This record gives sequence, C-alpha cells and structure tokens, in this order.
Amino acid sequence: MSDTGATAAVEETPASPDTTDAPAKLDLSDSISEFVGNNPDYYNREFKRLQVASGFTFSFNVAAALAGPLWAGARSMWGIFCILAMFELLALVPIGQGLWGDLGAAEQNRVEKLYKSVERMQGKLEKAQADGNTEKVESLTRNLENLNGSVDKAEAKVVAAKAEATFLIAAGIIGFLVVKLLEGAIANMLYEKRYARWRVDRSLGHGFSWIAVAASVVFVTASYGVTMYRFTAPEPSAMVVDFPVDQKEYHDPTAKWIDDRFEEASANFGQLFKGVSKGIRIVLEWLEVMFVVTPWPVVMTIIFITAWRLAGPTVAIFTLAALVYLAILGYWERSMATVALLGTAAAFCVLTGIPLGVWCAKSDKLYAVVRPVLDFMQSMPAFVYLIPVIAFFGVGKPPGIVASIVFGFPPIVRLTNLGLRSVSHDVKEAAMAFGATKWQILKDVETPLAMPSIMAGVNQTILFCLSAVVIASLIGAEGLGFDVLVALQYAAKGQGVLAGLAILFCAMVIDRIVQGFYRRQR
Amino acid sequence: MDLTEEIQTFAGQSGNYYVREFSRIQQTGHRVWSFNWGAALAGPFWAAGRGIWSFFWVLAIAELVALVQLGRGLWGDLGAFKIAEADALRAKAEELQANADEALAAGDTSGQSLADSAQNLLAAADAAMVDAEKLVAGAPTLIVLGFLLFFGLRAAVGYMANQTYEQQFTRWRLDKAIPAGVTLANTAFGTLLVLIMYPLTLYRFTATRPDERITAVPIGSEYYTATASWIEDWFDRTAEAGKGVFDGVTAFVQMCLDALELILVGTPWPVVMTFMFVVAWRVANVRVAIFTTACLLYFGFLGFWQTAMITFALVGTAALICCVIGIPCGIWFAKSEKAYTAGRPVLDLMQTLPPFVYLIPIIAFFGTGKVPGILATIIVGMPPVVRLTALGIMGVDKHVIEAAHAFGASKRQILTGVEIPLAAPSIMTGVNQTILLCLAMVVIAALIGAKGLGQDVVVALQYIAKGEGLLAGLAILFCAMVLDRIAQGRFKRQEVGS
Repeated sequence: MSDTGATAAVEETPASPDTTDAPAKLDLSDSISEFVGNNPDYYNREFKRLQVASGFTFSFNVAAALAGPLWAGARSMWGIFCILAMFELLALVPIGQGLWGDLGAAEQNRVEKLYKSVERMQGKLEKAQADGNTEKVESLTRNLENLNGSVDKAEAKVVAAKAEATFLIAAGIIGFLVVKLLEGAIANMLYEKRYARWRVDRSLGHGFSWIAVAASVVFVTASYGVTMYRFTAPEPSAMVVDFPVDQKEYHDPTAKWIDDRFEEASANFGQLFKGVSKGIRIVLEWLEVMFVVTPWPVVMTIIFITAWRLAGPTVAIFTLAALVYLAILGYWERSMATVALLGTAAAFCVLTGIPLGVWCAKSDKLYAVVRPVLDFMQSMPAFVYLIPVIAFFGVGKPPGIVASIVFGFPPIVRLTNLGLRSVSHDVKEAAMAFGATKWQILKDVETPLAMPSIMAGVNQTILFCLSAVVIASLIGAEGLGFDVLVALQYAAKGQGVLAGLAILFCAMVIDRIVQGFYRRQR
Repeated sequence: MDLTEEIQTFAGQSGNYYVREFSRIQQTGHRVWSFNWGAALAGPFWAAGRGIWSFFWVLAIAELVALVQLGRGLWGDLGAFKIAEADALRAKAEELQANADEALAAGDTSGQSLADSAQNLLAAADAAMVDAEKLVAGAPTLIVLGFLLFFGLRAAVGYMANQTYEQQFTRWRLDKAIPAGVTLANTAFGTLLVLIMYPLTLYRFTATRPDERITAVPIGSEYYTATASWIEDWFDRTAEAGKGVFDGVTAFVQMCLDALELILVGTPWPVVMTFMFVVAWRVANVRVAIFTTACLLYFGFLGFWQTAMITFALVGTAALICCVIGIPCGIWFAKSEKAYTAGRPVLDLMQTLPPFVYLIPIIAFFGTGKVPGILATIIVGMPPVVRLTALGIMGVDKHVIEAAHAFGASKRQILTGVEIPLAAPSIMTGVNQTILLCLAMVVIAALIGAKGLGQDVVVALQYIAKGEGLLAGLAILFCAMVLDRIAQGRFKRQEVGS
C-alpha cells in the first residue's frame, strides 16, 4: 500500500499539472518494462492507469483471463497461481462429472435388468396362454404390469440423473466463465501490487519466463488430470483417493511402540507416579472434607462472607444467588466436589508457578528454556494431555487433577514473570540504595508492584483449571463436567443447560471474587 | 509521644497495654516475644472483636479441626460402623449355620460347605469387632491430639496476636476506614459465626447418624425436574419458531464446509500436497514449506490423511467465519465507545466459560454433526480476534491519523490505508490465537459428532489407547503448527515489506 503511494508521489513531484504524463512515463516505464519482461507497452499503460487513479479502476487483462493460472505461473506469481488453479478446478469438476461422470450409470443398469425380467415374464406368459392355464395367465399379467411400472420409474430416474448431468455441466460452465472473468479483472491489480513489492525487494521473481510456463503447464495438466480422473472415473484407483499407505504399515507399529514405551515408563517409574497420585489425593481429601462433608450452611456462610470481605456487597449477593441456585437444583455436592478438584489443581499451580515465575524473571537462561515448553503446553489441546496422564496415572480424580495442573500452569508462570520483569529499575535501585537485601527487594518492592499481574495470572490459572476439570470428567474425575458430558451423550438439553449454568456460576463466582480482591488490593 | 495517642485511639480498650507492646515490636527489627493473654484465651472472639477478619477465619477453621478430633474422641461413636458391620456379618453367619444344620440333618453334602462359609463369616465378624475395638481404643489418642492441637493453636494465637494487630495498626494509619478498637457489632458478628459453624460442624462429624438435612441440602429433585423440563420445552419451541434462521445458518456453514472439503478431502492427495507446499512457500518461506510437507507426510504415512484434511476443513471454515465476522466487529468496537462497553462483558463471559458448556445450546438448536461442531468452535474462537482488532485499531497513533486527515484522506481511506496496516500486528496475533483456539475446540466438538482428528483422540480416550491417542494428538499439534507458521510467516513478510 505505502509503496503504491510512494510510486504516485515519485511520479507526481517533478510533474507540472499539464505535463503529468511525460515525466512519469520517463521515470517508471523503464522499471516497469524490466519487471514485466515481455509485452511492456501494455503493462506500462495499465499500471500507470492503476497508479494514477485514487479509487478503483477497472482494467481487464485478456491474456490472464484466457490463460488463468498459466499466466500467473508465467509471471512467477506462484501463490496466486495455486489459488487460481484451485478455483478453476472447483468449476471444472462439475463439468467433468456431467460429461464423463456417467451419472445415470447405476440407474441404467437397473433398467436393463428390469427389461430382461420383463422379457422372461413375457415368455412365461405366452407359454401359459398356449397351455390355456387362465389362472396363471392372470397372475402373470398382474406381475408384468407391476414390472412395467417399475421400469417406467427407473427410466424416469435415468432421465433425472441425465438431467442432473446437464445441470452440472451448465453450473460448471457458468462457474468457469465467472472464474475466468474474475481472473481477467484482478490480474493487473495483483500484478501491479507485485511490481510495487518488487521495486522494494529485487530478489522477487519477475519477468516472463518460458521455463515457468512449462512448469505451470506440467503442473496444471497433472493436477487437473488427476483431479478429473478422481471425480469422474466410476471407480477411481485407491492410490488417488487416499494416501496409499496402509494403516497397518506404519500407524499400528508406531502406536504399539508408544504403548510399549508408556508401559515401560509406568513400570519403571510406577513408584513416582503413585507418590504423586498419593500427594494429590491427600490434598484433595482435605479439601473435599472442607467443602463437601462440612455441613452446607457452614460452607455457604463462609463463602458468602469471604465474597463480601474480599470483593464487596454486590459480588457477595451474586455469590449467594449462585449458591442458592446450586443448592436448589441439587448440584450442591457435585459443585463442591468440582471446587475441591479445582482448588487442588489451582493450589498446586500457584504454589509451584509463582516461584518458577520469579526464578524465570531473575534468570534469562532459565526463561529461554521454559518459554518454549510453556508455548507447547498452551498450544496443545487440553484433551491431548489426558492421554499420557491416563497412561501414567490411570483414571479417576488424581489424574484429572494432574491434567488440570498441566493445563493451568502456563498463565501463572508467564504473568508472574512478566509482572516482575516490568517493575521499574529505578524503584529497585532506590530500594537498593536504602540498603535493602535481595530478599527484601523481592518481598517488599517487586512482589507488591507486580501484584496486579500476578493476580491476573492467578485468575487465569483458576479459570483454565476449571475448564480442564470439566474436561477431566472424561477420565473419571466426577463433578459438574460429568453432568454436562452425560447430557451431551443423551442430548438432554434441559439437564445440560442446568449443569452448564452451574459451571458458569462456579466460574463467575470465583472470577468475581478474585478480581474484586485484586481490584481492592490496587 | 506522637504514636501513643494514635495507638490509644486505634486499640480503644486496654490501650496502654497495646502502646507498650507495639512500641516494643516497632523498635526491634526482628521478631519479638510478646504474648497476648487476652487473645490466647478468647481466640477467634478476640480476633473478631478487634476486626482482624482474616486472622479470625484461619483461626476458626483450624480450631474446628482440633475440636472435631476432640469431639470424636469424647463422645463420637468411633467403632459404630464397624460394630454394625460385625453384627450384620454375624446375622448372616447364623442364617447360614441354620441352613447348614438343616442340610446336614437331611444328609445333604452341601451342608458342610455352608457350615464352612458360616465359619468364615464369623471370623470376618470377629475381625470387624477387633477393628472396632481398635478404633474405640484410639479414642484417647484422638482426645490427646485434639487437646494438643487446640492448646497449641491458642498458644500460637497468643504469640502472633500482637504482631498481627500491629500490622493492622500500620494499615489503619494509612487508611482510617479500617476498623479500629473493639466494637460490639464485630464481637457479636464473630460470636454469631462461631455459634453457627461450631455446633453444626461438630454435630456433623461426631454424630453416628447425622441428620440428613445437614449432610445434604434438604431439597428433592422437584425443582430440578420442573426446570429441566421447562428448559427442554423452551428449547423445542424456540428451535421450532426459529427453524428458518437455524436452517439458514446451517446451510451457509455447510456450504463453506462443503467447498473446503471438496478442495481438501475430495481432491487427490498429490494435488493437495503440492498446492499446500507452494502456498506455504509463497506465503511464508521455504522453511515453512518444508515443515508443512513434513507434517503432511506424517499425516499420510500414519493414516491420518483424510481425518487431517477434514480437520483442516473444519478449522478453516470456523476460523474463516470468525475472521469475517470478528474483524469488522473489532473495527466497530474500536470506533464506537458504546458498542465496546456493551460488547466487552459478552467477550469476557465467552472467555470465562469452559468451552464444553457451549455445546449444549448448540445441540439444542442445531443438533449434532459437523455444522454444530463448527458453530461451537466459532463461539470459542471469536473473542481473541475481536478483542485484538479493537485493541490494535485503538492503539494507532492519533498523530498518524491526523496527518492522513490533513492529506485529505476519506474515512474509508484512513481505515484501509492507515489504521488497518498499522494495526496489522495486533490483528494477526488475534487471527493466530483464533486459529489455535479453533483447533483446540475441534477436539471438544468431536464430542457432538464433528469428525476429524478430534474424534480419533476422543475414541482413543474411551479405549485408553495411548499410542493411537498420542499419534492423533501429535497430528492435531502439527495441524496447529502448520496453520500458525503459515500465518506468522505471512505476517513477518508483511513486516519486512512495509
């Protein structure tokens, strides 16, 4: 865009109002000629028209319209070449299907079979008539009538299929013409843009080359041919339809190999995994006693007052409403179980994530190692984590928590690190000048200043853990997610919506309380 | 001199004591041994009266844990469930023995085996009784533990009280809104809380058969059933009433999907592979193109070709629709303050909710299959692109826009020629995030019948087929990386170009 502007400026600066054309032509025509290679006069004219106009200018390139992708290829615009070829193919496929697709083939077969049975029936009928068996004649006549009816229907189908063929051909031709027209209409615009880029970066391919033409011809014939074959042949070769590699060849051995490695690892490090499971289970059991076994009026009061103290009356009233919803609709136990799961996962994330984030902020080397791991953890869909987790930890609640920890870990590390790194150097220096130790600086200067960022990380971690806990219901971590899952399986909308709302309320209550807390801290 | 008065005002009751203790604490840099007998004796009541609520909560919960142990030891029926188990086993054994006697009397040989099992049951009952006795014998330990915990806590409170209260004082000096002194309201509130929490919890944990109203919320399923069926009806009616709209949306999405599937799935693989190679090469660079080809070969050789292409088609359709709707939306939000204030909470909510939950209304209105899966994916993938487009355009330097104005650019020209190019990095980040979210969602959408690699993962999870699941998971990761690298490569080239 800016290049085009620069082009126009270069053209117009030296020009006096009435002789705009002459200097501009002098200035750019050489470079345009060099760029386009052959047919320079045409492109000189068209590019100038495009460049001078401030709005949209229509400029139709007949060669591009006729040759389509070949033109783009010849002009070494390979990205555009691919897109044009794709669109042409989209239009050509229905034409091919209409022409050679043998669309009525199956129906035609049926008609022929029916004709044969009609003939046979006719023979029997004649024989019966000759024998004078009136009863048989009657039933045979009836059968024959029925058969004739089916023949008519089948023939109608053949006609319909043939008619569809004509429709396909017509639609394809119209589509093809539209594509061609579009190609002609946009060609010069695209080519002019390319020219502007080329002027900045001379390494871009330019000019007209016969090798490129040959390459694109080969490519177009090959791809059009294979595609047409795929769509029009009655039984295209399996080579073309799917990648010609049998599942058994690589997939199964690799899968088996991975299974074996997992088995080995869980045999060798079984103790470790069991230990982790046990640690998680202990924390989880404590939290479950606190949330699930403690009488509900007590839990409700504590949550209500916590919300009030941390986030103010509005949030407290909202919290109370949400809790009443959970209680009245019978989700109390399951939602508290979910909160216990979530609490365990989030506690592990926060307790390990904040120190790691602090360490990352202090050591560039460590961060360089940790960052790609965090990126990887975040770009992997949460479901995929569940697989190694099942392999090592089995099914149930502790594995669900492990998966949630993996999923919820990145934000807290990232945001703690970010918060500490963005603490102003001057403040730290001032603290140092007052004789603060490293530990004091971290505790009393950096952490309070980084608090908004850290709290945002805590909030995100909690929400991530919540969505992971919901997903973990797939591997047997019970709770609200399980209700949604069951509702999904039976398409029970009412139950699903109620359970979904319960999850929504849990998420919102936690989110509001944490946000209210850090707003107050600020 | 100066602080004494302030401390007096802050502490209210027994001000002199606190003046002395606070100045001791303030004068030394390290911890000071200062024991508050009032706090140690009154515990949570002291904390409540003094308005140190965080202290109150921690204390109350820890004390409850200690009291529960104490209560269980003192009057809890510790071995009760084991004794009940033993009784049940004994009754069963007697019954079996009677049967055995009868059978033996009748001369049936099965009598002997029956007698044996009766003996076994009796042994089990004895074992249960032994367990019960052990549990009962454990009562003194629990009592001692509870006592130690309780008094240890109180001692800790006495020790920490003045330090904590001094911190509260420091905060109060900055912010006089913080409660000071002992107020009746605070004490009463704390007492009320203790009175609600302690007896109920103690009763719940120490009674043999606690009342059901305490263990679970005493509300049956009547509200649940009524609400669920009402919602079901409402969905059915809405789906009926809005059939045209829903069908139209479905048809539109289906059309996009069909076109992409025709290109990606229907077209023979050599053609698709070459196209993708060339596109990656032209849009990004040779390295990305080689990476793309390697990923495609992975799909091919491990038998994921068709599913991977279906996934690309699903994600492509979803991401395309997200961008087509999201970018204009973001521009609108950037231009109109009102729209942004209205739209922001919705975006926040969309990002707060676990993606799982979107599936329910989607199935209610659109049924199951690929199109509903795409719609759920669109909802999940939309927020980042909207947010980051708005952010990018709002972040464009005002001077640049003014300069464009001064050159006589129209509003549209400013938008397309100035704002969008300058906001491109932010918009591209949004697109990138949207693509990744869509891919993550494709797995979840597989739960409602969107096919593709997600389905492979879900099936692998169901059968705990680790190897297959991991291979499919890697395939998803490669899909994400291919799309991400191509989009980023494009963006980097644009950066170099401008």
